[in-house]
Amino acid sequence: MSLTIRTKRSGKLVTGYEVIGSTTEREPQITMLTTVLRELTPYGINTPKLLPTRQAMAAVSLQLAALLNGWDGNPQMRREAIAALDAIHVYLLHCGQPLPGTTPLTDAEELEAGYKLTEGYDYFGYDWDSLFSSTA
Amino acid sequence: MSLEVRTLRATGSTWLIAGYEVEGPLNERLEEAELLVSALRPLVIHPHPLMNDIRGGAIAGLALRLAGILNSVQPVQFHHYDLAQSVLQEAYNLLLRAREMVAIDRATDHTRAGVMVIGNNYDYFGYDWSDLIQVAPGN
Repeated sequence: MSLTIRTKRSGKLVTGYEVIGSTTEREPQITMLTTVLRELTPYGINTPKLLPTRQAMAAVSLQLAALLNGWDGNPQMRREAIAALDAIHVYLLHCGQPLPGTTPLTDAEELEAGYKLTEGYDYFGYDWDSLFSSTA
Repeated sequence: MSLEVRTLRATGSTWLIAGYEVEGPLNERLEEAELLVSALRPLVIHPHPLMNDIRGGAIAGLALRLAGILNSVQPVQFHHYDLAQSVLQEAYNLLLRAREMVAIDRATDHTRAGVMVIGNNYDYFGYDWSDLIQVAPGN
């Protein structure tokens, strides 16, 4: 059976992802999303001027968290995934602040980078409960 | 029904990923497409200087997911369709370059380690790019 990732919603809010698939099927996705998070974490990224939207970071984080829930695969891979989630977590919680060592973006650049958020998206359109429970 | 992303395996392979099948309401597919463009763009516009199998695989995986969604929407339905196409094209070009670079590095590593490269599938970072090639313009 192939891996299936199903989005769970409560109205417009994405409350998490349901993952159907074996340990083996999950592995490539966990590797992929861990790498994406690592590469996109602003404190490690080589180009802080071009960041994904915070919604995208939250979505990738929640998908990775869902894949890790109940996954009993390689422990080292799991540790690396949780470390990547922790790092992005810190960023998302403090993302109103300019990044250390960077010049604040202009309004136009913020728009370009997707920084301007829709009103009411305090959690970037995602319910982080499952992320917190995965990384606790 | 909520959005569903299903992994497709290449025929006859238990591990090579041939792409993603995406099903769900149009608004959710468009939302997912926006997120993927946003996540993929920095990775391909400013790629990590040290490309390797893992990084190549991450880009290939995200790109194929985006390709899977674009295949299920009309250009007029997605206002960032052109941007998505150009990001996919960049991803494709980057992967082609990375494949050559990684193959050289891998050959060196494997020579050092005294082992042989098994098959050609690794040259595609674990993904079958056929779907990506179909979606990327000019290919």
